[in-house]
Amino acid sequence: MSSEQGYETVLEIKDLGISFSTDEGDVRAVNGVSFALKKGITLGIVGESGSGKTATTQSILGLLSENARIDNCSKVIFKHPQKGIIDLIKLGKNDTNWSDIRGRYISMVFQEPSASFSPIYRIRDYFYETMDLHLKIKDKNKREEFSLEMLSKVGIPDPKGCFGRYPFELSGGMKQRVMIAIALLTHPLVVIADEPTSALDVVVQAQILLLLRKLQQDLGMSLIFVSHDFGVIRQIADEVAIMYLGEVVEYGSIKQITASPFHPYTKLLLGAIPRFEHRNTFLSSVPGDIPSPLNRPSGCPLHTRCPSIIKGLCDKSSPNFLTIKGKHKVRCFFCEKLMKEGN
Amino acid sequence: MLRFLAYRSLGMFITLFVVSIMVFAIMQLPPGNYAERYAFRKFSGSSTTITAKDIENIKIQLGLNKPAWKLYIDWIWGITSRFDFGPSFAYETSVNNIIRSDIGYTLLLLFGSLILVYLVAVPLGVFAAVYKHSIWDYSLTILGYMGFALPPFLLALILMYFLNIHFDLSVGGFLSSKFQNAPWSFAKIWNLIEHLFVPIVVLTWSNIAFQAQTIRATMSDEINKPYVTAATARGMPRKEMLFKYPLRVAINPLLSTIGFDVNRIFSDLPIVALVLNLPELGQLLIKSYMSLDMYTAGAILLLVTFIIVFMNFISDILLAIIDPRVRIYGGNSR
Repeated sequence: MSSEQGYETVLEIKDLGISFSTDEGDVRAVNGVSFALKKGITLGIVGESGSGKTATTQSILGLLSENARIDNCSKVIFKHPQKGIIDLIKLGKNDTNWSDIRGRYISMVFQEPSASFSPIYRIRDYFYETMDLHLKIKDKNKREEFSLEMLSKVGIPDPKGCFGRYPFELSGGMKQRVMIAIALLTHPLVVIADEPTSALDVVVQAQILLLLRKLQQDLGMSLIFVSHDFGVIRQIADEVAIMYLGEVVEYGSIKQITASPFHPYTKLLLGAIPRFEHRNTFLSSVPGDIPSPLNRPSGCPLHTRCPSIIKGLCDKSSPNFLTIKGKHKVRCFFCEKLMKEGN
Repeated sequence: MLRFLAYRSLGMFITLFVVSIMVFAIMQLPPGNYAERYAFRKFSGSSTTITAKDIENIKIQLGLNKPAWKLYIDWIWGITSRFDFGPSFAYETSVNNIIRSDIGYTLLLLFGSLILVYLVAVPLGVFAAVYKHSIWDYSLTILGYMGFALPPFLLALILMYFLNIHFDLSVGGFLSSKFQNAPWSFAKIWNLIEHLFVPIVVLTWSNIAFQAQTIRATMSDEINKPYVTAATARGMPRKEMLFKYPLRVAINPLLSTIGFDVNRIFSDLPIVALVLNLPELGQLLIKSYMSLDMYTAGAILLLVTFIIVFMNFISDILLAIIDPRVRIYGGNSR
């Protein structure tokens, strides 16, 4: 969709920091992440495994595990249509306010469709559960009609048959469609999709992406789409946040990022997308491994793998955000140097 | 579901048939038979010489002269058609008369213990899993170890001693002597419950420890699964969610081992009954087996195995009710 200024902000994350206490010590999973999600926009979050994407999205709905600790200064500001501004970080695990946020205004689509359904209940039970919790539709025919309509919207060929089935009787792609249908049943303001296509084969993956994009535009909702695959993000996102070791290193519209990536890590990621015209060469990859979050490198987190490292600077202090143009921001000493030299 | 029920009932009847043959074989297993025992008892010390013919006559008298397969068919036909377990040689009456009173108490103890095990173990296990690594969880684990380590007879003795010294309660037997032959009344029932307390605690103690640990383990596995997170993300309130999602799956291993629990309770029962002086079938079984009273022993063996097979059947049905995968795939795969 368009990325004009002036769109209303639905959800804003400020200075999010998350640590997990484990037997081996504290793991810093997210370190000072901030972004604002505008109405009707798809925000893509890209990064390798362990870059804190999932922890970031789970903190929004208070789904982090027991051993997670969130910094005191962190804020997740949500504009509730009835109750006004709520800081979601401040809500306790069982706060009653969650009941009309989770699954009502903010829905989630998960990575593994097979593991995300309990095998005990039929598809219709999941629809009725959401209706009982959020929509209060009592009339039996209306409930069924409404659910079947949603199921055909997500491209289920035989909604009526699917309705009475158990999750384990459906394929992975079908289950993911059903999960999307349930997530969108309440017409939420925000949908968080955490690697929704990673467990699916490529053809189904493309179908699900198209479907999500179409529904997002039809319903005018905001979408947070998390993926480790830049190719996928490029197809669906309006804005992108590139995460590395718990930090956002570059942020901008998809056009800005793909046309003129600044951060060395973004360049590496973009270079790792397979391209048809380079089919005879090996795929390039990001050299080295992501460092263990148990002992984060000092300075810029990327300096252990960065091809453009400035010795004595990058490994000592950490860079601040530098605005390049409009939304396009980058966090890198090398880019700062380039900008200075350029001007 | 009907298909599943049909399959499982058929399986149960085949099992029961095989079991009945095995029980009959075990009945015949001890050397000699009651005819010889009878002859010995009747004529010993009277300096009469017993001939093979005398024993043959006693055999005819007792109906033991027929071939084994004929004996089996008569026996099983009596049970299935008239609910008649045959004669008891040692007590010179029918087996039905002997076991009638004891079977009631045995079943009361069995089902009382079984129900108590589940009523206590499930909430304890869930609680420990939800508040994992809390003080409650650790105390439950310690209690669990005690449950495993303490042999039931010792627990019975300790409880008996304690209740006798500190509460002045006599806990042996099922009823106080004044109620022994009294007609059933509220006071008598209360007296019975008082007396059931100790044996049921003893019988359930280790089973509760075991099953609470099982539920704790499966529940803490389930609680971290993606479908639980997904249910939370859909806005399910936590308590409701715990019952609707993880517990429904976590309860599976408990339901599928009902048969084992019955088994465990049955094997603890004779020792506990001996210590607490309870009339119960286990001791009668050993006694009648030693005196070659084959129909009494057979009846008890058959009843006990029947209860175990039947409880396994019940556990299959409960599993099918709670888990659709069993219902859909269980009927035709086995």
